[in-house]
Amino acid sequence: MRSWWETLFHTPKCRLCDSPHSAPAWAPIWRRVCSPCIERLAPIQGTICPRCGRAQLVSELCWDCKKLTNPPLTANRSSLSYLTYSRACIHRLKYQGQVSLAPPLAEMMVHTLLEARWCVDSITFVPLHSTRLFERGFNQAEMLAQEIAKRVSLPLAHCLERVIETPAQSSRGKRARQQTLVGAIVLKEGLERHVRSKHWLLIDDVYTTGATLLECARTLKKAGANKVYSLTLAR
Amino acid sequence: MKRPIVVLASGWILGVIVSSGWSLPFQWMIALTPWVWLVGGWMVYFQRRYPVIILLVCACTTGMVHFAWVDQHNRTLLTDEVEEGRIMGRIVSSPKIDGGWIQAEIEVYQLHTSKGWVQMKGEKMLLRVSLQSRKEKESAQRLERGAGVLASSVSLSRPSLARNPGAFNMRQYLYREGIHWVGDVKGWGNLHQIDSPRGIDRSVDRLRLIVMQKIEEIYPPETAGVMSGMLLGIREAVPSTIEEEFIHLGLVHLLAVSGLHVAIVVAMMYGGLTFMRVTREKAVMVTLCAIPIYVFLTGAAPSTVRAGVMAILGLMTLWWRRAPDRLSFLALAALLLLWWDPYILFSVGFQLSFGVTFALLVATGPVVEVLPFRWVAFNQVVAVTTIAQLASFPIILYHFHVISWLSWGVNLIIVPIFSLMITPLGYGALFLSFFNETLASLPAWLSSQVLSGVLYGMKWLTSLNGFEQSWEPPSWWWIFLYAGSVAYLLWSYTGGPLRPWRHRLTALVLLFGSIVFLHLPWVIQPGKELTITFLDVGQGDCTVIETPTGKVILVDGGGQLPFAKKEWQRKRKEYDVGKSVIIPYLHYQGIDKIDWLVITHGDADHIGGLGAVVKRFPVGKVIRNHHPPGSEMERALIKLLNQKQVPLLLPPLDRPYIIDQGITWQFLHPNTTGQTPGKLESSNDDSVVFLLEAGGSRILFTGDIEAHGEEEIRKRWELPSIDVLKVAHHGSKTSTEQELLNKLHPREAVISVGKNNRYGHPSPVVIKRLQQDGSRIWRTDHQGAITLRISPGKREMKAMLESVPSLQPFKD
Repeated sequence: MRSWWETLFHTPKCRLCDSPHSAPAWAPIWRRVCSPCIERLAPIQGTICPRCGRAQLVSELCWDCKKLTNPPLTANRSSLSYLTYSRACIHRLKYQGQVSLAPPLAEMMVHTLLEARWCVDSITFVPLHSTRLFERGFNQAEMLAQEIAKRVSLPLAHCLERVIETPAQSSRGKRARQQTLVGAIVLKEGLERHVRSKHWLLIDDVYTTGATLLECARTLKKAGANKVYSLTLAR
Repeated sequence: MKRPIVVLASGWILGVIVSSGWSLPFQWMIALTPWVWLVGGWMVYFQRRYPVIILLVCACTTGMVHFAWVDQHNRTLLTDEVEEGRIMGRIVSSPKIDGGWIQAEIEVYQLHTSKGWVQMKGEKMLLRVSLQSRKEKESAQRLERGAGVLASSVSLSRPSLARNPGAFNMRQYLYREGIHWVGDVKGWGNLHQIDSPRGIDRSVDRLRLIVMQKIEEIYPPETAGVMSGMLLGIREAVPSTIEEEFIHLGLVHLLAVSGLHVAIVVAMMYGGLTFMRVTREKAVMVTLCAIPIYVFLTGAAPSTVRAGVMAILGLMTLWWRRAPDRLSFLALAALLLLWWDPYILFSVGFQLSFGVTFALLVATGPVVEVLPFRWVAFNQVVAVTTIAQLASFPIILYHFHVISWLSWGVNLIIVPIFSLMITPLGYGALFLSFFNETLASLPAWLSSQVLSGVLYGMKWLTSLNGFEQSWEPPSWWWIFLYAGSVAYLLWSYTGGPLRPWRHRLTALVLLFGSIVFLHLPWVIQPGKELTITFLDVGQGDCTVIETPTGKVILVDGGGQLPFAKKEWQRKRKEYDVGKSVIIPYLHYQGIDKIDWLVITHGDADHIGGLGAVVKRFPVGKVIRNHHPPGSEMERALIKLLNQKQVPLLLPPLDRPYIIDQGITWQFLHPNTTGQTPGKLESSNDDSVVFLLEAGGSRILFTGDIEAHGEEEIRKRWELPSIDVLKVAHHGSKTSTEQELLNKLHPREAVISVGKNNRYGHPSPVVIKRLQQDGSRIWRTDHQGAITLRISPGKREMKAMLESVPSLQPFKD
């Protein structure tokens, strides 16, 4: 129950942490979030790996990207560093079902997307297996993708499907992740024509090794996609 | 719902607007409101739906009922027209003395007429007493608010209506103050004080007087007036020339005690106390107590009350350690003021204060962040000035019809000087002067020096011409369009990279488009008709002709003969027809230049107001007769025209000249070829006379021509029958001879003449002559300004005071 004061008068709050912070409703998201939150979220800025979007000191391909030859994913960008606070935010959204966090987080991703200056035709997201979707009730990547698509006015397509139920990626090693994913993600039936010769943007919440995103990109490429980019909230 | 009070106030304001514009029967409203509340309450409480809209609707209906209730009870108790009587009452406003007049609002308890006593139950009335001598003025100065008075032989009249288009409507203004009658008393001897002053108002007035005397003691005479206007809100103390400069440059908010002053005083007080190590709670307490005193001491204008309420709420939040929600505080202040007096919504002060404060609260923060300058304080000042200008623009256009382009820049520079130096130093000096005047003299001297520097600069800026711009008052839909595009501009520029460029561009185009549209309406919708307005300038002539393409011809600018006044009789603002009638009308019509100025001849009642007009507007060409200037006034006017390098021409009689497509004028008189210049006798007979033809109508302008001149014209020209005649010489019997009427047979005759003028114009003989000839007669003394609109094949004539019918022709 709010106090009588808060019922009568507006007490402006930070969009993420409820501490007092005042900004107009139409201001950019980084204004509507309080500065301690911004610091804890650690947005990725400055020089990054031009392919995978990792924050580093020089603006050239990182060690991991150099090893890859002809990867299906053209480039990736992430908004936040995957540290304690951003992890907590993603957990609140994903496991505690705080759906109201999706719009502000998506808006941060839109800012990153606009900075990347990609030319994209359509948006899709990393799918959940149907049983997992049933457990959780929603797909956080889809939710973010919806919010992003609304803000940049691009079409959102549900074109990928996870056919093999893989255990949670977060608890496994790099090699294991790649192996279990082979063949796990397929294109939805009858959408080949829709995918062909387009530039796609893939949305996910976290980029760790990029295995899932690479697998999705591979599927899209196989179906004839022109280029595939990916955008994640954190890495 | 984030801010219920803001929603409530918006609904209430909407209700007052709706209720004032559209009068639903009061009983209906009373009957409907409980239902609206019930249905709304049910919807919100049980259905949990649309709380914002429901609160808005409920507030709107309540505001409507409240306004209707107040409006129903704002009626005079005097049912029949009473002309004279004896009044017993109490003075309720501080008496204002100006020249030979004293004026005050009075609560009338009883009125004694020839028919007996009328109980007036404290109805307010405006009492004006003319003072006959210097002695009377001195005793009048001792009259105080709260005094019980008995006034005998009071002539009662209804307040005057606006007599010219766009002019101030005294009756409406006083109606909103709850005043329905004006009582004129001749001579101080007819006003008797029967009860000594009572009430807290008198103490406030006395305190004001004491503080004002302090100001006069510590400031030199050149700046004391401005300082008392600025620090205490005593506008009468400000010299009128300086006041005009402030108005001209859009700085008049500095002269009134505005919200800014309250903020300065609160900041000084609270800051000073905390600096002296007083605890925060005690500092808040002291400041809280001081604010109402300050507000009442400075006259409790809407802006001061608004700022006072907001400051009190702000300090209380400081005390309770809550986050201040200034927008809700503003709404609360609006609700309080509207509850106290719903008519206040229509006052300029209220609109400007609340409109600008609202815009500043919403927009300042975001705008400061997007401004590119490196210096934060400068960003602040630029943002505040720009937002305040944009927010006040439509309000100022709506009420004053004129804006100086210098306003933005001048505000940018001068407002910080005032709010950071002059005002705080002034209040500091005033505070110190109550302890030690020597101590006070330093800040007083410093602020006085800065102020005189600023005033010097302002004088120079005012002398620059061509920065003022007139605007026709905007319509409602234009104001909405403007507000929408400003909001759109704010949203698109302060929304970060998410807003694409096309939004910013569209917003800019919309804003500039709306401003250009307002300024040049005929570019977008041509085919406006030719308008001729015979202004009511009292005894005198003044006609404004506007063509469909925006060319302007001004024929004369009537005025008064300056008659000598004693020092004590001088008003603070000497009446000038040009400043009070002609220029406001030209502003109201959105006119910025005069293409042709026709000076029919040099009498004071034809040129008296032209000095001010020529100073304000660029003039293309002047047409006047061949007489050399015969009076001091005319010499000054000609000198002014020469300074501005305006060509002076004689009327060309050779052929009709084309002004615009389908509009021609033919000059008929005087015939200057072969005339010897230097004829010094009265030049009435050499008045410039011309015939204007437009859209199939003929209008004859005659100046003050008399029988002899008329004869000359008759002999020289084959005169056609005409449609409209400007009757010569205000209807004097020495003009408008039967022989002329026999040729002209005007359908309409306009007599430009002053009420109760001392020459006895117009002559009944001339009126009878015109009526017998079959003319309808229009008189500016009875009907106010007369407007004539001509479009091809159509002529429409309208008087400002429509309740007064024109004199119909006699029927044979």
